[in-house]
Amino acid sequence: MSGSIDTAAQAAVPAPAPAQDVAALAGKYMTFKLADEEYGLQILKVREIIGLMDITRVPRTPEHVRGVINLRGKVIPVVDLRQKFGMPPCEATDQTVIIVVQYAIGERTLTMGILVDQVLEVRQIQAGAIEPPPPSLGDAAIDSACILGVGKTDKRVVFLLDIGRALGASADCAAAAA
Amino acid sequence: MSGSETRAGAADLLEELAAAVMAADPSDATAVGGLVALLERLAAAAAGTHPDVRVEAVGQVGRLCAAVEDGPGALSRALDDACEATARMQEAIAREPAPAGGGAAATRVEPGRAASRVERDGETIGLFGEFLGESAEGLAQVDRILMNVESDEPIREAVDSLFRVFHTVKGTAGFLELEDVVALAHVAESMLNACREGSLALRGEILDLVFDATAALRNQLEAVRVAVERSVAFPRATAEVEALVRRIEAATGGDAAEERRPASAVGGAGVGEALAAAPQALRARPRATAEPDAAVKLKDTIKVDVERVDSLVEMIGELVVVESMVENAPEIAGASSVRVRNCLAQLAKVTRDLQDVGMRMRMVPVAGTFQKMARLVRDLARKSGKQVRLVTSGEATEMDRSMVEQIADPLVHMIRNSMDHGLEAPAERAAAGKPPAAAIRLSAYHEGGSVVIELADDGRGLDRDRILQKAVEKGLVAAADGMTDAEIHALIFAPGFSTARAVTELSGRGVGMDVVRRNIEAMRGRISISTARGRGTTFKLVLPLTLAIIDGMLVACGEERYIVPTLSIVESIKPDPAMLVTLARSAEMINLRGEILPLLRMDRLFATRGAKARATEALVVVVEGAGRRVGILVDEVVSQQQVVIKTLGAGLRGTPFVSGAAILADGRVGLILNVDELAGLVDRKLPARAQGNVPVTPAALPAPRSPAEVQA
Repeated sequence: MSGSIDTAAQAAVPAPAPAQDVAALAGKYMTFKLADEEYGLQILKVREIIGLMDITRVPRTPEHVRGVINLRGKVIPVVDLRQKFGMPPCEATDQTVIIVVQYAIGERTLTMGILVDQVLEVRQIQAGAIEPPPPSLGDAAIDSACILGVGKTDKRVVFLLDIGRALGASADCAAAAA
Repeated sequence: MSGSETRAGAADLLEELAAAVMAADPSDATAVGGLVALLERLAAAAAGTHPDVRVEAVGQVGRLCAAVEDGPGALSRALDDACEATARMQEAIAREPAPAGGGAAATRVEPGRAASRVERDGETIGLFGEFLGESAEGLAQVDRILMNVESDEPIREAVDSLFRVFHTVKGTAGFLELEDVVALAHVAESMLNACREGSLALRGEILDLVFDATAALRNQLEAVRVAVERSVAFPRATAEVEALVRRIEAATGGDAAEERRPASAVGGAGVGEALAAAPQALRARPRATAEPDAAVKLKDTIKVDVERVDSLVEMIGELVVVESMVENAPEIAGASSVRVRNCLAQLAKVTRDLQDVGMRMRMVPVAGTFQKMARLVRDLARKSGKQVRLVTSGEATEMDRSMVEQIADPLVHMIRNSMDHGLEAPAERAAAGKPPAAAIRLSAYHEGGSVVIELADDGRGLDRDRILQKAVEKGLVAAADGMTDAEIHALIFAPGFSTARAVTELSGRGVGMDVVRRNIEAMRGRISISTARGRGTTFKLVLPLTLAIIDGMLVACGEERYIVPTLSIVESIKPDPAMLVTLARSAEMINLRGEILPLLRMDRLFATRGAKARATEALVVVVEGAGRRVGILVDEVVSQQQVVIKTLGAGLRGTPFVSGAAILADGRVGLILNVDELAGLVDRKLPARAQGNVPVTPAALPAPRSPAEVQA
């Protein structure tokens, strides 16, 4: 199981620049909510979902790094995706969860927790329902390169995230500043 | 002859051997003769009691003989090998002073034939197990070398190693009377020898033959394993093997054929005779056992990836934490059921035992490293013309494997330093009324939860005035004002310091001692000196038992908990108002019995909430890192505990002031403070951290600086 995740993660990093064939993006996505927006993660990058637990704050790290948690003996960082995307923070609710994702950056395989407001479902998104990402995202704190595409189902819009790109930057800024 | 006499003999012979190996001169090939004779006597003496020692001894004879042919370089390496092997053998004897108990000796004198046969069987099986394991390793090495040879031009070293593997296999197999294995290994060895001498080239058909021989040997060994495990006779060589032997012979040319099936297959000339008694023991083996189906298990060792061992140890660490969480859970703690209580007690015990086993898996004795030092001392003594005796003790003290490797370099530096600076020339010693031969004592022992390695010489001791003069010359200090002896002695660890009057081959150019200290500190260890003028100097290294676990002090600071490594804590005190001083109303300091130390407020540095504001209500933990002392202000010390060190996770590399994390008893993550970095704050600016969410207040810094400068 973990092997297949590794390969998938590794294969996906040099993968599709936004303008490329969106048909290749068809597949299963785990969708979650931040405020009233809906996002999707490639299912192979999701390792597990855990309830909110005690997060140990790590001093002098970027704002969006909430700290570290004990994932069955492994210490992993947790990123608050709202803050990472420049959205206002909010109090945790009983819906708040940590999605544990694994992806590769260069040689390193990173395991990270991302704090999201609510997990929705695992959904199959067909090629025909995926649009390429908008070329520019204006003032948003998120780079359009982090969006693989935009899925449309049931009149709803799901932003398909390239989690490696979205978080990779945050992982690096802690390291680069050291 | 009683068993205990044999053992005493083996132990004595080993002592003698250890001394002889250390004294052996690699440039003098005749010295090896004595060693070989000793090893043969040892093999004979250990025959009935320590099969593994016997195998090791025989193997060493083969290696030494091969090395003599290869010249001084190879011999020097072989002697190093022999040194380590001697340590292993001593250990083996020490570990099992009476392998079969007192009964072994008794059965031997009693007429009970059956009993003695059973005992021999067990011993023989042990021998085969060792042989098979070693040979498999050797053949794996052959495979690796062959792969490289195929791609590159064959180099001399590769041929040498190939030769050595076949030679070793042949030697041990001959001793175990595996004639077919010997025949094959022998012709392969002869062929490789021809390659070494240049009459054959290791390529094309010859290379194929080596491949075939390796494969065939592996099959033969597997057959031997099966035969031993099933207690049946060894199969005869197959026609293919015999054909292969003939092909190899044909390829090698005439002279190998004459040598075929030598009278004594073992490398050294006299070894076969010395061990003549052994084969009888071996012949009594498998077939003689009553039930042919009784599965005999060969004692086997495996090489395991260090990473796997680490992950096992790590998981055991987690188990310990989870176990204590279960035990302390209110629901469980309140349970009155006897059964639950018993199960819990059992669980606790098993967990502790498991932790013990896990810790021991990575531990090895320091003996190997100590013996390397013995050779070093001998070499240096000869070069410097000083008479030096190295006395070691506590070789059996165990440490984490990686640390045993890491202390070798610092020890080499320190010994060089002692020999060059500390020990006087014989004439000077005589003038001081000392015996002409100087002594260096190297000892290892446990103290509390740490391992201590002590290096003591009986030389002239540190010269306070010369150190000081040198330090002033080098601009390390301005003057001696108010410096204690200890502080002056510590100057020898300063970078670029060297008091040697002339730069010698021995102690180099003053890069030694500061590197020593850095290496020791990198292992989270500490080094201290005690010295007496004219009587000698002692360096004491205090090292943690393992790199995976540290003793930590859990301190509270507001809502947060941090772990301070106990080894870097000097003391902790509740400060008196009179002890607290400020500079420019911001830089706080503490006057600790006349020593002014900067005071770091953890809550300001880390922006934690709810910490005690008044220093007098809080606690000052004085830590030492990177050679500096600094006081850290915390609310209280919560507990002292051992923690398993973990990284902060790949995404958080390079986080300042935190060296790692650990799972605390309540399952939360605790951060381990990097004391070196905290202490380093004292004299350098904070690194600029533009994205940091924590503005650093000047008060957190010991010296007053404007905020702008801090941020810059």
